Formats: sequence, structure tokens, C-alpha cells
Amino acid sequence: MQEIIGTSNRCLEIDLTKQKFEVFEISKKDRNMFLGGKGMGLKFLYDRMRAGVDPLGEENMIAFCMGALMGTGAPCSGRFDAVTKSPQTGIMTAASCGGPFGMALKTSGWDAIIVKGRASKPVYLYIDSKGVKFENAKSLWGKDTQKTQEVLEKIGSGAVVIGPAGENLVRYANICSGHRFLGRGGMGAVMGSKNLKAIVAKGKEFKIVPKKQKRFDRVKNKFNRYINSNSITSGSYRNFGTNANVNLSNAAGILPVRNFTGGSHGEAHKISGETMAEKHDTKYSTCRPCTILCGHKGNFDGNYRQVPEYETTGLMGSNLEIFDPVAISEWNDICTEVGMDTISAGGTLAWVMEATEKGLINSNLKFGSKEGVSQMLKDIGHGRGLGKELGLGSKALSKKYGGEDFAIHVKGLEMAAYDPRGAIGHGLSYAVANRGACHLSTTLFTLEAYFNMASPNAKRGKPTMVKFMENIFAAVNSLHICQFTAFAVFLEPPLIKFTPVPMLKLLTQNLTPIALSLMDVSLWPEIWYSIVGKTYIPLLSMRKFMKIGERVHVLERYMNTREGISKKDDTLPDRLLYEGRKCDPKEKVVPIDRMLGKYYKIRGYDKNGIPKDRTLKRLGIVKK
Amino acid sequence: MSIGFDVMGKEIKVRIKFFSGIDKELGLLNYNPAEGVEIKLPGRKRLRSVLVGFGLKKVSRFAIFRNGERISAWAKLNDNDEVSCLKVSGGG
Repeated sequence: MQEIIGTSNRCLEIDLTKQKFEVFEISKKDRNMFLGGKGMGLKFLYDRMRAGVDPLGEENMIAFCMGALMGTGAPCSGRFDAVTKSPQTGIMTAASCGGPFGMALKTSGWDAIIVKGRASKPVYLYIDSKGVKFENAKSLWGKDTQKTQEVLEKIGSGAVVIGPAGENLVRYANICSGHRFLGRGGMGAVMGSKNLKAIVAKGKEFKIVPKKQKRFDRVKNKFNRYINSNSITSGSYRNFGTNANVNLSNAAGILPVRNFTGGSHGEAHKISGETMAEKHDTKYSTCRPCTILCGHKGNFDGNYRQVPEYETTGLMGSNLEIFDPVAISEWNDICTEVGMDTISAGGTLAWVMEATEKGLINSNLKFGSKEGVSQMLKDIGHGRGLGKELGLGSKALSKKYGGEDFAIHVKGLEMAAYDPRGAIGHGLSYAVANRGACHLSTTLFTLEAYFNMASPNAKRGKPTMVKFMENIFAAVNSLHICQFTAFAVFLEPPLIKFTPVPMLKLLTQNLTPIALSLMDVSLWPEIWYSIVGKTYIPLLSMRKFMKIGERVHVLERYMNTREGISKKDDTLPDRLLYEGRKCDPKEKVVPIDRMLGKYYKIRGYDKNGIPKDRTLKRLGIVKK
Repeated sequence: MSIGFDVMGKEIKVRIKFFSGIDKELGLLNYNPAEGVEIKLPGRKRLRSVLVGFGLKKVSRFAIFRNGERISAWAKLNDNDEVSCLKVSGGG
């Protein structure tokens, strides 16, 4: 087998309209500035796509980008990114996935592909080291994501596919690879609009080898040691999956309940990771390669299913006041098959239940009742009846029927399963996150509500923390490695591990920039340098890595501002700004305005939230 | 499940809920997470001493909440407090 040392830097630009492809190389400069994954995807689209294109039109593009770590055997590195303009929000969306397509594409010799145009009839793409074949997808069109993959796995070692939701342009349709997803922002609808059912890669044609193998092995061992000694990555997640968060969020008062009107519920333990493990005989079913093992399968009334992730459990369980793991796992399966995002689907159902209760819309959906949910999810996916309208999401529905105050989204993207009234820094994070109400841009609620390293109700220091975490995760998603490695990277270095939590909290809260500068995130850049063969210089390399994260984040913001995003969009739903909750006697809300100005200032944005020229020049996004 | 401590002075009642498999590590039989464990204490005690009494070690590594607020193990307990004790997890 031939070897690729480090990265191949070879990419494909595929035109569906002309059914042609071109090969191009990633320049050394772009690789150093944007790494790969999310960063590279954004750079590709920034260079090639004008602002204002219709997300479901021919001009929109979708880029699938691997990171430098993919295929090397680095821990938790089996992830790839996709970037496109979202039909749900009208701005950029980037998502990460742990399915087998990434490994298949990279070992076919490609670091990225860009798809543009629109096929005149349904097609799928077959990719090997020689290039692309455009194949007729007539027999696949209409098939669900799992059946489509069953057909394609006979001809390639990994695929990305869409289900009926993507074909029917559900605005939150996702893209599926294995049992993992490019989940948020409606990327499945972008593929559907291009008549692109799937992309399958042959894979296993090249072996990926780090340039500095010995150094790589040493860093990898240290990485694995950290992951295996961290109580989250080797404990909670390995034992209970991401649903380990259910009881914790419930105790902290940040679990979404009844369309974000409550922060905790007495029955939450019934849908917790502990209950899933005990009553549903869970086993590992994860991304590959993975050291953390958070993905699980379980036995739900005789059906062996993927255990719903925490976000699904929160949005389709407690947020609908339903505490039945079997029902939630069934709904999770339906969403998997039709190919749509469970967070947005759950958020939209919650809005419909409340709107029905208030007489704004006619439906048979009620909080606390399972009746009609399965059918409605299928109807959304297949674009039938009321389901067709629900496929537009809660923002569009509330604009048409009223009830905008309880449509829980930011910039059109439904909110993830952490109520920011119990972690106000995370409220700022939701408001300014580039793709909408995304929890993954910072996961600041962990520091505030779980780790007790920052006061959940204090404004002080939060803008700085949001900026720091955004930069880190933008870099991590460009590297690309699982974000969950952050718990091991942040918490295991001796300086943090052996400092008492109250002291860390004091520092983080009162001397935020100094506290954050003490964070040792060197493992990420160190493993990257060992793969691409650069000389690692402590501190300097780490700072460079952080600057790449800043560049990627600001580029995405800049692209969004070209689409019309500004301060008016960096806000939260009225419910979170003005309504207290039943679980909270102090009726706390998120004081967003008091944090936003400071955030813009330290980000180098103007008062309207637009990146300043000097910020763009400093980061090399525009020429000096 | 109810556990009585030796009572002297003004008695208070506290409910402690264990999650994250802590109940199993402590060997609590027939444990119901909805109810937790109700204990009677001789006046206001610090939570830490109660948790150590249950057999928990390195109490500071747990996430402890009282009525939705994160508290330290050194907090003093009040009558009718409901305390949740969990292992820390992450986001995602």
C-alpha cells in the first residue's frame, strides 16, 4: 500500500451541473493558516462563493474536509467536517462527524472535496484515488439513510448519505455517515437541493503516516494517558454516554423542561445515562478510532438501537415532558432513518406543543403525551401534511402563526439542551455562536454549572471565557479531533489537576485572562506538528494554534456579516431574557446586553458586531 | 430509604440523592433515585461529615447541588434541604 506522509493536500472540486471534476492542491500557506477541517472548509467557500447565494440554489457549495490527524491513529481523530451555507439560518454552518466517510476519503488520497452546481437528476458520487464517477441514484432516491448505506457499503468503505428529509428539503435535514451525523443547519437539504443522494469513497488505498513517527507515538501515548485518567472521558462518558449529563443538568437547573419553562424535573432520572446503562444493557458503539467510547447501543424493548445522545434526550424527552427512554430511542431511530437533526426536530415539536396549547395552531401534540410524535416525525421527514410546515423549523413557524417569544432558537437554529438561565456565560455563547444556538462553540456551561470553575450567575470574565473557548474549539475542529478530548487536555495537566477548585474559580472569575493563559493546551498543537513534521516550540506553537482558532472563528463571523448578520441577531429568545423559571426562586434571566459590548471589544468587532478592518488584517483574512 | 443518626438537640431532616453510580459504590440496596436517602441529623451539620459518614472518600471531587445551586461540601445543611451528589461530567 502506498503511503501519504502527513497530508496529501490533494482536493477535488466537483461540478454536478457539468458532471466534471478538477484536482487542486492546498497551499502550504493555507494549511498553516487554516489547518484543515472546519477552517479549510470556510476558506474554500470564502474564496469561491459570493455572499447572498440561495442556500438551496445551484450556487451554494458544500465542502467536506479532513483534518491532519485523520487516518494517523491519533486518539479520537476519526472525525471530518462539512461547511456550507445553511438553508435553516441563511448563514454559514459547519458540522463535525465521526462516521466512516472521513477515513474512506482520506485513505483514497483526498484531503477535501468541494461540491457545487446541481445534477439534473438524482446522482451519487463514487470517489477513488483516480477521481470521481457520477452514478445514477434513481434506485437509491427515497431510501432511508441506513438502507442507502447498506447498498453503498458494498462498493466503498465509507459514505455520506441523505434520507427522505434531505430529499424533501427539510431545513434541518442532516447528512449521515454510519450512525453518526453532520447534524446541524440543514446540510442534508443542501445535498438534496443538488440532487445528490450520497458520496461514497473507496478508501484503503493509502496508508497515512506521521512525518515524525517517534514524536507522534510519544504524544499519542501521553494523550491516551490523559484520556484514560480523566474522570469524564474515562468515567462518566465511558460508563453512561453523554446522557451522564441528564442528572447533572437537572441538579444544576439547566435541563430544558417544557419548552424551556423549567430547569429541572422530578422524573429526569428516568432518562439518565445511569438508567439507560442499567435497564437497557448498553454496549459501546462509537466513532473510530475512539478512546473515550461515549457512543452506546442498547436494548430498548427487544430492539437494539443506538442510545440517544444527551441533546436528543433533552430536546425530545424532558423538553416535551416525556420521560420514557424507549419512546425517545424510537424517535431517535426515526430521525436517523429520515435523516434529520434531533435538536431542531425536538425544539420544533416543543414549539408546536406550546402553540397548540395557546390555540395558535391545530395539532394533536401535547406536552407529556407520546401520542402523535412518531407519526409527526415521519411526516416531517417525508414532507407530508402539517409535517411539511414543521420541516421549516420553529423560527419560520412562529413568524407565520405568532409565538415568537417562545420559539427557542438563535438566528433560526434551535437551542441545544442547556438552559442558559442557569449558566449566563453560556447564554452569551449561544447569542454570538456563528451557526446559531449551538452548544459546541464553547461548552461554557461545563465550567459554570458542572465544574464550578466559574460562577454561573456572574457576568464578570464571561466574554473573555467565551472568546477563549470559541478560539480553542475552532482550532480543534480544524485539526480535527473530538471536542471531548478537551476535558482531558484542560483538566489533566498537573497545574490544573492539583490546584484546588475554589482557587481555580477565584482566578478564573477575577483574573480571567491570566487564568486562561495558564491553561496548557499543548497536546493538540504538539500532535499536529508531529504529523506535518514541523518543529514544536513550547508556548510559541501553542499561541500559533490559538491564533489559527481565532482566525477561523472571525472568518466565519465575517462571512456571516456579509450575509447581513449584526448585533440585532446576537440575542436570545424573549423567554430566556425576560422569564424566570419554576425551579429558580430568584427567577434569573440572561443579562445579554451587559456582556455583549465587552465581547465585541475583545473580539475586535465594532459596536454593531462587525469585525473591524484591522482585526481582519491582523489575522490575515484580508490583505494588509 | 430512610437512615437515622443518633439525635441530640433540634433534629433536622435532609434528603440526599446519589447519582452517577455512587449509590452502587456505597452499596445502597433498593435505592430509588427519585427519593434518594432521607436522613435525620442532630442540628445543622456540614454536608461533608454526612457524606463521609456514608463512606464517600475525596468528597471535593463530586458535584454537589442544593436546590439547583452548586454548593461546597463544607456547606451547613438546613432542615428540608434536598442535596444531589454526582460525579462531574462534560458537555456534548
